[in-house]
Formats: sequence, structure tokens, C-alpha cells
Amino acid sequence: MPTDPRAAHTAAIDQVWRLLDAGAQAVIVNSPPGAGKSTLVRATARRMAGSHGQIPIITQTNEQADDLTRDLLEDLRDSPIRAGRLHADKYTPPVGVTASTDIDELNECDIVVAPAAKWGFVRADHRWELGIVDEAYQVSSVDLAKFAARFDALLLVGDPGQLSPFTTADEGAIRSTGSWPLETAAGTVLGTYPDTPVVPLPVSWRLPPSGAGIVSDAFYSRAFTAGSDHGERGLRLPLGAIRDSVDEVLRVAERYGWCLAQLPDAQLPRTDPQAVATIANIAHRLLSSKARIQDGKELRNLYPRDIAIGVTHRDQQALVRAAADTVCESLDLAPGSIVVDTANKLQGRQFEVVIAWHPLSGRRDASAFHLEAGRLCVLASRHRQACIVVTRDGVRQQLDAYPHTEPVWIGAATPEVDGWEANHRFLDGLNQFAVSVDA
Amino acid sequence: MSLDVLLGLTAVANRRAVPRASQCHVHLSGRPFVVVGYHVPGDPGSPLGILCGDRRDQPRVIAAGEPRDYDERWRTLTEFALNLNGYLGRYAMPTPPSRQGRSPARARPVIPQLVVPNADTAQWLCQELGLLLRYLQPERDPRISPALPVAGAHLSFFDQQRVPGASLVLAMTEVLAQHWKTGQLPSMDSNLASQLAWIRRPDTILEAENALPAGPVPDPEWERKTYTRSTKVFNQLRGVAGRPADAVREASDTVWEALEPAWKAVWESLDAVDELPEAEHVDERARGDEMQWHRHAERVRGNRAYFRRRPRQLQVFRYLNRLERLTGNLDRQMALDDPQIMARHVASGDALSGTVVKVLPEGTGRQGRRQPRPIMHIRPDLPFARPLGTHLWLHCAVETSRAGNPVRPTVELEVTGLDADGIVELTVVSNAIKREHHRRLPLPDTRQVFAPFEPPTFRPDAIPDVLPWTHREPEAD
Repeated sequence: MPTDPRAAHTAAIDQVWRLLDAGAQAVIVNSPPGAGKSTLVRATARRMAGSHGQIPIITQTNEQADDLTRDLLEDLRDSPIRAGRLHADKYTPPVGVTASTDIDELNECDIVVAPAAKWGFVRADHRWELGIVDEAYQVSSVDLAKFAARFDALLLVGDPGQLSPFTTADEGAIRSTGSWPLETAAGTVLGTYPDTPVVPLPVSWRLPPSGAGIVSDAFYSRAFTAGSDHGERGLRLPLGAIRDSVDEVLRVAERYGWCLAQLPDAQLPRTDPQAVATIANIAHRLLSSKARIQDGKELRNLYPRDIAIGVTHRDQQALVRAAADTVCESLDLAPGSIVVDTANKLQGRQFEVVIAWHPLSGRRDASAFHLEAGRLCVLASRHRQACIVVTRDGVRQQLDAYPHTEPVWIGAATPEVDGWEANHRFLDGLNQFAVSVDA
Repeated sequence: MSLDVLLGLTAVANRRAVPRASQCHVHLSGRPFVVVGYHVPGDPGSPLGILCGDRRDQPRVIAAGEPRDYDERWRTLTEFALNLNGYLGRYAMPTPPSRQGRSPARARPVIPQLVVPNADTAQWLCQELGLLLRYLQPERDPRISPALPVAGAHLSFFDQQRVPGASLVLAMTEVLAQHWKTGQLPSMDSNLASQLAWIRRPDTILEAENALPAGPVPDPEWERKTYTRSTKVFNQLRGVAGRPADAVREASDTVWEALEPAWKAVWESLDAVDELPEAEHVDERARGDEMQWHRHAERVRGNRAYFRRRPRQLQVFRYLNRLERLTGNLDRQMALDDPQIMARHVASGDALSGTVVKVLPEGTGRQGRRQPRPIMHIRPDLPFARPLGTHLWLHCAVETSRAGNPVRPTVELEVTGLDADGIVELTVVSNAIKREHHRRLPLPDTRQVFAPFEPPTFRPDAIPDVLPWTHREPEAD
């Protein structure tokens, strides 16, 4: 394998295209965070549009479909290839996009983008040579079953480390049937055809080297590296004395790209007010300390929109948003300038600096919901420069003390990465960057 | 904070259960078939003893004199099966479906109802015994009564109907937990005796915690000492000609003594929920149960009640869809019926409860639409933190539709503003834009709840008839 990241990336993409040209029925691309997944989807659609007829792209949500269409139109500005958006009756697509609720009205388009739910309702006599599934690890087996018959071959592109499909129904009732309809689309295809080629994208262009190392170790079974070199990117702070622990947090984040800001051990409800205050303090200090970000040769100011705060629950989100808005107000910024959202919503987005509220912080019970490695992985892999994880001390003891009481189900596939292990490895990685914060 | 945590702490402080609901959210048949029973630990196919029946003062006592003996085992199971089949037989003939929805005073839905003390008993009877009995072949083995596979099919049907909102099977600990919050750990709520004591007789909680279990697994000490004594008696007497009934009597008495408290507790917990007024949507859900039951009875009559050992992929997909739909429906209907349950959604911040400050039926006039959208200003009871663009629904009073049926319209609203004083601005999105519908808007100074519950839409699920090439059936077992 070539050691130059760009060459390695290109080689992986060439391999995907060779497989498709050779008539593979299914190809899976495992993409770590920020490895150019969307770019691959768009480039493949563009390349195949001529030779394989109309190319449908299947996304998970309407927002993803809109984003993808917008980027495609940007790519195709000087090209004869046309892209269109298929949507449901009740949905209003963005202006300036060729869009319709009826696939027959999009015959002119070489590429058609729509969410999985919509492809399921396209009349069954429509067939395509090749379909591209974006976010193939978020599309469930049920959703795949709804549209798969319309495609002769599928390219499934996704990030295996992210949150898996979930249900509002009682999981035990479904599991006891002996099969799991919420298996990922990629996993389903692999189960049916174990020989399906899996091409990993080897390079994360988003994560800095510090980030890629720890995230790859903790959450991925196939290792990846960062596309940038050490020191090429980072948070840059003006010189100054370290007055308190928050300053120290920023210094550590500047120096290493990570910081584990630890509050004293305590068991608290999930709306831990000190954690909220600490997160707000860090955000305030980041914005008021004239921090800058370096990106190769470019050095620019850190803006509020470069910062995201990631949480686990919606009540946490409400509290942190209120606190973040107070911060914005004190700095004469519009409320909402800093993005505050749950892991589910941050999936697929990127920011310069991320403040993550550890899902297990201060909890008495580490349930399966919190042990799901995907949630932590999403929070830890949104940043381009630095990630500050805020947590109560004692997460490790909690993991150790928590008994495995989850039932074992017949027919359930073992996860590629065990949530309990991943949590431990992540903390192992971050331990060296720990800073105690006073409550 | 979650309202449930507060209720739990209140219950601990008062040492008495606190109501979680102000209405009864399950359908209660007037004549339920109650079952409490024990099986040999580790062998769900061998009952030790069962009390069952629809007569509170006269349960049928079925006891196995020697559960390790095959003949005794089939005799016990057959007796239970005959009782169950007899009860269900009374519901099997379809009452001619009176044109639904036409007459306002429809009769209550009539469904058979299996009531058990706890979820484990429900699982034992419906899933495990159902699976064991439904494949039995009386034509191959003379010891097998034809009643057994029929009972197996019925039990398997009941197993499939253990879904959110259905009332065909009631596990009383689950029903009680739905309506009351005790101060015990959730896992201790699976003990019906102590749960009931928290609700009805707090001074007996300690006693209740030490009572014999309500099944399906007996207390080991009881089994070793008391039950073994009765099997000895049975083994001595069974050889004596003409006294088979005497042989079992000792076992019957032992079983009766051990299970009678559980039998009484089940009926008493039915009383407890029955004291609450029935919630509005219960009838509608029970009608669904009624339909499912008659569909099953029809299949049994036509000898078509076949249940796969392992469902096929497409069946699982449909099952998932159904469960998700039922879960959402139940959540929504319970909250709309019962202010005490809606309060949980208000406390979690999903619903907006508050006083209407101002109503502008013609909007602000700025929007430049021909038909302006009405706008309301609400002063929330709790700070409202959902983002702008959040959709909420106002469930209006009952109206009469053009066809003369009672309907409950829902007005869809969007959060369009939030000022510094915390006043929330809501703009109507649908169902109250036309002038003739403005009467659906609330009056100023009234208190209203705007809930995150979209009315259910009926759309096909797009699950195909054939499994596509990407999927395969799980390997046959």
C-alpha cells in the first residue's frame, strides 16, 4: 500500500471503480469520519452516469438528500450531466433544484437523489443498473428490503463506527423473533454474500493526526490515518499566563488536539448543572481568548460557527443551548451562533473545535444506550482541530462495576467493535490529556 | 427532571404508591380468564399446579401429583387446555359485526382476556407452553388429547398479541406499574404481592415482600418441603385401585394453599384499575383486539391456525412496523386521554403547556398571503426550550363532521417565535386557517396544552411481497 495518503486514497477509489466496472453485484466502502465519503459518492455517480444509465442515489434523510443534491449541482456546473431530486408529496425541496414527486418526470436527469423511504414507493417496474447507498450503516435492513429489488447492483458507502439504526419499539420483542430487522444495510448484504468486497478508505481528511489515532484505535476494526501531518493544523492561542483550570484545558487542547476535562466524581441526574457550567465556561474562554486556527499555511480567527457542543440527551441539549446562548449574549453574538446538538443530529457534520459531553459522565447506570460505541464515536470525530471531552471522573470505575445483564439473542450478529471495550480504549487514549476542573 | 423520578421519590417518602395515571388505560373484560401457576423449575413443559378460571370465588385447581411422570404431565396439561378452550369457545362465534361507526351507542367490544400475575407467567403460558403444545400430533400418540394443539394455537395467538396497547393478555404487574409508581426498584415491581401492598395496604409491604412467589417458578423451599410431601402421598395412593382422585387431592390442597394469595391478588389488582374511569381511546384499541381475535378464531375454525417456529424475514419486518406503530399510538393516545400522563411530556419539555395571551386570527398581516395564518402567543408554565420550527398539535373539542360523525380535529402549529420574556409564538400550519375554522382556536386567558403528537397517517409501508436479492432467510433450525 502506498504510504502517501493521497495516493492511498486514490488507490482505494480506483479499486471501487474497477470492481463496479467488472460487474460486482455489491461493493461496500467502509469510510472513517471525514474520509471523503460524500465526495466518493458524487464522483462515482458522475463517472457511472454515462456508462450505467441513470444513477439513483439513496440517502437516509431528506436533509442529507438536499445537501448531496446541492453539492452535486455545484460539481456539475460546467458539465452536461444533470442531477435531480425525487421527493415525497409533503416535502418541499430547496429552490433551484430540478425536483419532482414522480420518477418519470426526472427522465432527463442522469443522477437522481432521494431518501430510502421515497425509493421504496417508486413503482416496482422501474429498474436501474446501479444504485448508490449513502450512509449504508444507517440504512436498516427493512429499509433496504423496500428498495433493493429495483437495482441490479448496489454500491454501499458508509461509516461503520457511527450510530446504528434504532427503533422506538421494544427491542426484546423484536429480537426474540430470531432475526434483527434493524441490521445495517451493509451488514445485511455481507450476511447474504459474505464474499462481497469491502474497500476501506484509508485516510481521514477531517481528523487531525492526534484525533485519527485515538478514534481509529478505539472505534474501528480497520485502522485509518490522518491526511494531514503533525503540526499542520491546530488550535492556536495567544501567549498568556495560565490563570485557572479552564485555561489549562485550552492549552492542553492546543498542544495535543485533545483534552479530557474532568470534574470531580459524583453521581448525578443527566442534567448535571456543573457539567453545563463547565461546557459554557470552556466555550466562553475559547471565544474570548482570541483563539485562532491553523490550517496548513492559513491562520484565521476562530468563529462561533466553528464550535459545536455535542450531548447525548435532548434535555441536556436544552440546558446547554440556554447556557451557550448566555455566553453568546455576553460576547454580543446572536443566540444560536454555537451549534448545540445530540450525537444523532451531529452525525455527518464537521466543525473546527468540538466540546463533547461524555455520555457516561456522572451516571449511576451504564445502560446499553450509553455503551453504544457509535454515540461516543460520533462525538469524538466531528472536529478538524481539537476536541475537548467534558466528563465526571469515575467513568472507568462505572464501566468496571457495571454487570453485563443484557440478554444474548439467537441470530444476533456480534458487533465488530464492543461498546464496553471501545469506551475503555477511548479513555486509555485520552488519559494523558486529562485536566481536573474544579466544580 | 423526569416526572417519574419525582413520583418515585414521593412514593418512597410517603411509603405509599403514587398514581401515575388518572384513568384506566386497559380494557377490562367483565369475565377474564385468570391463570396463576407453577411449573417445575427449568422445565416449563411440566406444570406443578395451576389455578385458573373466570370465576373469582371458584378457581379450577389443577395439580400434578407427580410432575416427573409423563401421564400425569399430559393429564395436567389436558385439564388446563380443556378449561382454556372451553372459556375461549364462548367467544369464538362472531357476533355479526354491527355496522361500525354508524350508531353512536355501540356495544362494548367483547374479547376473551387472559389475565396473569406477571410478565414471566405470560411468557411461560403464551410463548413457552404455546410453542410446546401447538405442534403436538394427537393422531400419532394416543396420550395426546386433541385439545392440546388447539390450546397451543390459542396461546401462541395470545403471545403474538402481547403488544403495546393490546388488552387480550394482561400481566397485572405491568398494568399496575402503568398506573402507579411504587417506591421500590423497578425490578421489585415484578412481585405482584408487594406491588399491590404499596398501592392498597402500605402497612403490609414487608409481609408481602416475603410472601410465596406468584409464579411461574415456585419457592425452592416450598417445593422441597411441602410439595415433595404431597408427591409422596400421591405415589403411595396411585397404586390403590379406585382412588386416583384421592391420590391427587393432597397435591391439589398444597397447590391451592400456595397459589391462593396470588389468585386473590390478581383479582384485587383488577379491582384497583377498575376503580379508575376508562380512558377515551381504550375502546378503540379493544376493537382492534376484537378484530384480531375473530380473525384468529376464523383460522382455528378453518384449521389454518399455523404458527411458524421462526418467522420469515418479511414477517419480522411487518412485525417491526406494527410494533413501532402501536408503540407510538399508545403513547399518543394515553397522553391525549389523561392529563396526568400529558404532564410527563410537559415536564420533559416535549409538550408546551401554558396560558393563551393573545390570539390573532388574521395573523399579523405581514405575511402577504391571501389567507393569513392565525397566530397565538402563549405564556408557558415551564420555560420552553424546543427550537423554532418545532411542530406541535392542538387537539380540539369534538365536532360533528359533515357526515354526522363525531370527530376531533387537530390544529397543526409551528413555533415561530420566542421572546425575551419567554412568550412563545405559534403559527397555525393547518386545520384552522379558513375563517370557518377559526372557532377551533383557543380563547385568550385559557390554559392549553400543545402536544408533539401528530395525528396518525395511514399509508402503506412499502415492504415488498418477495425478499429482494440483498436478503436471505435465516437458516432453518
